[in-house]
Amino acid sequence: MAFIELKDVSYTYIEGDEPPVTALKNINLSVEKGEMIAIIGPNGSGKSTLAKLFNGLFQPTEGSVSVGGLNTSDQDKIWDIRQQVGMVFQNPDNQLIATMVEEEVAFGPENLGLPSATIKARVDEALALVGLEEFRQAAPHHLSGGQKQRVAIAGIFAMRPDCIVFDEPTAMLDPMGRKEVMATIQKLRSEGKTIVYITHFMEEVVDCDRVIILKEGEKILEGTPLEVFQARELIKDADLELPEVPYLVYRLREAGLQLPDEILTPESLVEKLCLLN
Amino acid sequence: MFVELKDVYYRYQAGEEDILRGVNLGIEKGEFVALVGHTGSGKSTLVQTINGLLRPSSGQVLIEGREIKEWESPIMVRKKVGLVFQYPEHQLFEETVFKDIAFGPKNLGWSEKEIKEKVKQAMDFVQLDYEELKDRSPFGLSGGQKRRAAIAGVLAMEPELLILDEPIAGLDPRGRRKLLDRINWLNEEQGITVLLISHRMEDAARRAQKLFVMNQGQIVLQGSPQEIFEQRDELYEIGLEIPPLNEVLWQLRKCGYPVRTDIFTIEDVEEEILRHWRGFRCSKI
Ligand SMILES: Nc1ncnc2c1ncn2[C@@H]1O[C@H](COP(=O)(O)OP(=O)(O)OP(=O)(O)O)[C@@H](O)[C@H]1O
Ligand SMILES: [Mg+2]
Repeated sequence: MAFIELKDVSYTYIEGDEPPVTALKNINLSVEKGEMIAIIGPNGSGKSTLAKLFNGLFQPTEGSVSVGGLNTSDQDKIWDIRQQVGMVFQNPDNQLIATMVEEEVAFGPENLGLPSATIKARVDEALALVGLEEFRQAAPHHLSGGQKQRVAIAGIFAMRPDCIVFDEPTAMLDPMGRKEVMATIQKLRSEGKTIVYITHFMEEVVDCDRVIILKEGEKILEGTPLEVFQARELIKDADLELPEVPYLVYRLREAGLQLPDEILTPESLVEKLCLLN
Repeated sequence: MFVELKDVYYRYQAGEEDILRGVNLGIEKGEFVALVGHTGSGKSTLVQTINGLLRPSSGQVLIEGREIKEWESPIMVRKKVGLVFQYPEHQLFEETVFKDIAFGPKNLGWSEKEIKEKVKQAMDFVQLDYEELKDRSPFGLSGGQKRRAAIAGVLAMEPELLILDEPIAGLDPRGRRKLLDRINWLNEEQGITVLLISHRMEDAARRAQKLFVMNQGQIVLQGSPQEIFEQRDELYEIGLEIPPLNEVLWQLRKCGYPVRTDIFTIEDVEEEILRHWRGFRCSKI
């Protein structure tokens, strides 16, 4: 059995006398331990809803979700599940509450009731991982967006979850902040963490093991990044777009230039063009 | 000059360091300008001084030649200058989407009928389905839907200057492009002045006539997209990049190919590369 397994999962929001909204339909999905999967899809396609099913924040309306063999609808196990699956969201400001970085990171482990020496060790380790040791006494609201997001990641890491779900963690960041966060996620991956990564930026899924495309609550495609990049029609149908450089490469190939189709960065395009000449 | 900032300083609290350090800038009526700079360079603070939300510690902010602090009421400033915030959830607070978008227009004393009309138009404009969403709670919207609702609320007031602080963050690629197309349309067809803050250099390059580059609380460069992105190395030094396709052209030039670097659309870049590599095409199989 895979680490996370969704079987025939549907989810419908029912609130007061508002019309019900079915956000997910019949999703089957499994995530192996140590894997990094990306979820992409247009606005309202159900990505954030799916994220909240992974750690039992939501229960499926139909079907089942299991994490590490535990069913998320088992109320006795819900805390075990939440501890196994951490979440990082889009807006760094809404996630940080403490007045000092190290307090922020210690917050989770303190809630677990760990002895203070253990807490300190975990905070040190987490700050080292995200590269913010020298900011431990800083006020979170004085940090840049990318740094804030790394503090949020450190706070989750200090809880020692097996899996971390990221819901558009770079949407609000500038290119530098985005690079910092992506590099930090790669570190978590090399620590063996399972990663679920939600994004609108197709350029960010390049390094993932597997990509899933959602559209109107349904899974319409699953494959390696390269497979997904080549499914141009489906991408278009799902209101998504190839990143600039792969799109340029696609057009140059259509125009007859003999370029390989796995070019994703300006550097590799330039290198291949120079080889042609 | 429609908007003018003269030597504007701003600090959030006495004793803290200045966030804006002598900003001078002018925007003409009908222009489409973009403001770029890395996080923390002061962009969001700067635009909040333009709609009167923040009052400069020193210096002047003038709209149509008159200092903002001399305007009769803040509402009149908000009516002229619409600001879409970086974080849309900070802008939504009513119990339904309709009420949220109608909030600004209500304060302007428009009739119920007019308000409904404006709300409908604005929702249409940002591609939110009026019938489906008007009675829903704004907090039950997806991230991208919230962003659209926040933009609609500002558009419904029909401002003369529209300031958008990272309006496309969180929008899917298609939504991003459509929204920017519509903003270009507002500018070109309706004569609305636009100030766009964006982290995506390709959007700034393709959409705006003029760019302001901010670093550490000051405007350090200004000019046409062509002029700005010629200064690739200076931009790198202050933590900014040039658009990805221009990076391709620059690197080709460094390798000794005499390609142009002052073009920004995918069509132009494709043509430029094909012009130099024509000899290496083979017919399509
Ligand atoms: N609390 C809620 N109550 C009612 N409907 C909701 C709620 N949250 C989300 N929805 C609806 O469920 C659908 C899926 O929303 P979800 O937030 O999962 O999308 P998403 O893919 O994360 O979108 P985005 O890219 O905009 O963040 C949308 O139609 C949305 O309006
Ligand atoms: Mg979402």
